[in-house]
Amino acid sequence: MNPIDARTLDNNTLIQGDLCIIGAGAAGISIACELLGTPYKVILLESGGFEYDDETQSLYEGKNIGLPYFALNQSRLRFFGGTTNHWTGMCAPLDPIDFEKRGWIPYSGWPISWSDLEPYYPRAQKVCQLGPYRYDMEFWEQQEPDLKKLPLDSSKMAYKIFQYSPPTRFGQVYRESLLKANNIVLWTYANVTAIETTVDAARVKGLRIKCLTGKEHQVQARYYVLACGALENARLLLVSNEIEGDGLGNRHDLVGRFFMEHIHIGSARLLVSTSLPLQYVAERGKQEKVHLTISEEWQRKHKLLNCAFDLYPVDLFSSADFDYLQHQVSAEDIKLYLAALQNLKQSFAVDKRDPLPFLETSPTENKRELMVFSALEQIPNPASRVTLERDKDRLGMPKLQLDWRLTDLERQTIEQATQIMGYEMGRTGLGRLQILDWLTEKTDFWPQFPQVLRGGYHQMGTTRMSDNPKTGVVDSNCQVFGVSNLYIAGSSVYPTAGTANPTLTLVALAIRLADHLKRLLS
Amino acid sequence: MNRRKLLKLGFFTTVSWFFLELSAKACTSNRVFSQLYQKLLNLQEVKNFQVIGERYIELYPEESQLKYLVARLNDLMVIAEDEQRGIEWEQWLQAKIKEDFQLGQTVQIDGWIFAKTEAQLCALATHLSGSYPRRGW
Repeated sequence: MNPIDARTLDNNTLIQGDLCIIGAGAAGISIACELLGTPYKVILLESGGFEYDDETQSLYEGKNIGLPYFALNQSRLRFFGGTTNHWTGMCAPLDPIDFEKRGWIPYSGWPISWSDLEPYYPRAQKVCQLGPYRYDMEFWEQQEPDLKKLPLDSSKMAYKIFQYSPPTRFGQVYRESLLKANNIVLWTYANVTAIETTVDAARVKGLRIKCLTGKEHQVQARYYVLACGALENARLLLVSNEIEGDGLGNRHDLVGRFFMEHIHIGSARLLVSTSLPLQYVAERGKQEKVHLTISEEWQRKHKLLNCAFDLYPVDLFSSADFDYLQHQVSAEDIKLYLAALQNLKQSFAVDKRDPLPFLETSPTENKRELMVFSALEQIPNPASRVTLERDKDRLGMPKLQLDWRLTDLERQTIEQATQIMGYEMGRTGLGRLQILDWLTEKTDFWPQFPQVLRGGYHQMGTTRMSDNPKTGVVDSNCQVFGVSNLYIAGSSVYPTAGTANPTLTLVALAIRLADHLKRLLS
Repeated sequence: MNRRKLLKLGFFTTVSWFFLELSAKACTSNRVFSQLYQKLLNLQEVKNFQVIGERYIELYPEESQLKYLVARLNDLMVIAEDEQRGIEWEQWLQAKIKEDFQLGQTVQIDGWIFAKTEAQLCALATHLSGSYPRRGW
């Protein structure tokens, strides 16, 4: 009898097992898959069913009280498979520098190194149905005859390869194997509303479950994994305040703090004099995508955050959102000027080799005008946080409020990184770059959301990993400090965010956690 | 009168002004200017040099006076003066643009990042075409 709809059980049913995974998204399903066929009884709890439904999704409602951000009930999905039900599948591992303690970035540094996590990336690569575990430009240059490095100064700029997952819908791809498993039971429509602990809050003794129909149940297991996404992981800890008044695992007031997103922000327009390989520009149509990035060397030298550049044909954007049209020197002027410089003249002819099949109309005429989006990590900032608000959801749980904040260092990084890109484009004769007005004006305002400033729907950092309970919520094994049988999976444990989309790393961490749990269970 | 003729007229107005007001040294410069300007006119889109140049002069008036520009672009003048070195000016310009970008010797004109040398050449083209009010030596 798998799955079991929790609404159909008798009220106050006690569900028991060895390991309880709360949440069936990318992290939860990855852990469950690792435990397939083991002798351990696994309880996999999912708030929704197999399809989207408004009622369950509404449990994600909350408020944004900081910088404008996506509506909290629209930036993630609450049914089997979680947010992988609508992700685009862009994947890359983090960079080694992302794990380092960088003196110029407060609260940076993971308690594990890149080499600690590296063995798990190839396994995560398979789970996400990606191609070969290769993220070096040299490899992809050999695979793709039309992909070439640009003549950029490697001390300043580098390349970051991303691969596209199909995208793997975890809830569809792994459903059958999970439902067939003898040792795993999936419980749908089972909302965890509280984590109950022993009186010293040193161990979880059970979970309280509520259904939207009003029924309540109990779960008991030897170990528990919280895998509900960065916002809900923090919420569940904060609402579990029966013993610890400020919330479970929150003795040092860290749960919910350090909320991070990947800043994705229009910072420049680029006129390129040559036809860039599609992998630099296109969103789709190739197995891989190349981002230009600021090199590690340059990050260290100039104390910058990790920053990449995402290039799009300018046609995709409304010119009203970018106020460059007011300028006296237009893109057309620059284009003609560059054409007049003899060596660029030919290369400005329209090249019809470049189809962009993902677009409804191919922007062949303007394809050499690109919008540059800086894609960067943000500083881990304790003031950027989620807290509980007074309003409650239909289950009686306080809703979340998100106070997303950015600082001057993000702005400085965007400005300096964009300038470097502009210098390199000019130096190499690849083109000229125009920095957008919001970045040249000396104000504290961030440009409008989501037209110019946007996130990646990448919520991270609310239960950060550390080697010290005073600076983190979980240890290097993802165990909640002070609670011996409670673990957290997902991007909420990231101390810093890098520039890579978070899914591949969170799956790698989930596999690593699964290995750890198997050792504990045995 | 087509655009090219208009530009030539503007240039010779500028040169006449030099001739009337300045020394024999300036006359030499005028000849060099003339040669340089002929080269610029050979570019198909010299108008766009002037668009950029006008804006540069507005934004950086202290760096855009003719005297200053002549001093900055002296090497280019020397090349322009020598008819044997026909295409060298373009090579010189490309190399200088590259060097400027490498050294961060850049200016921002309406957000566009330019090498100082190219912006100054655009300003010179503007001055020579007479399309911008003269600010004197």
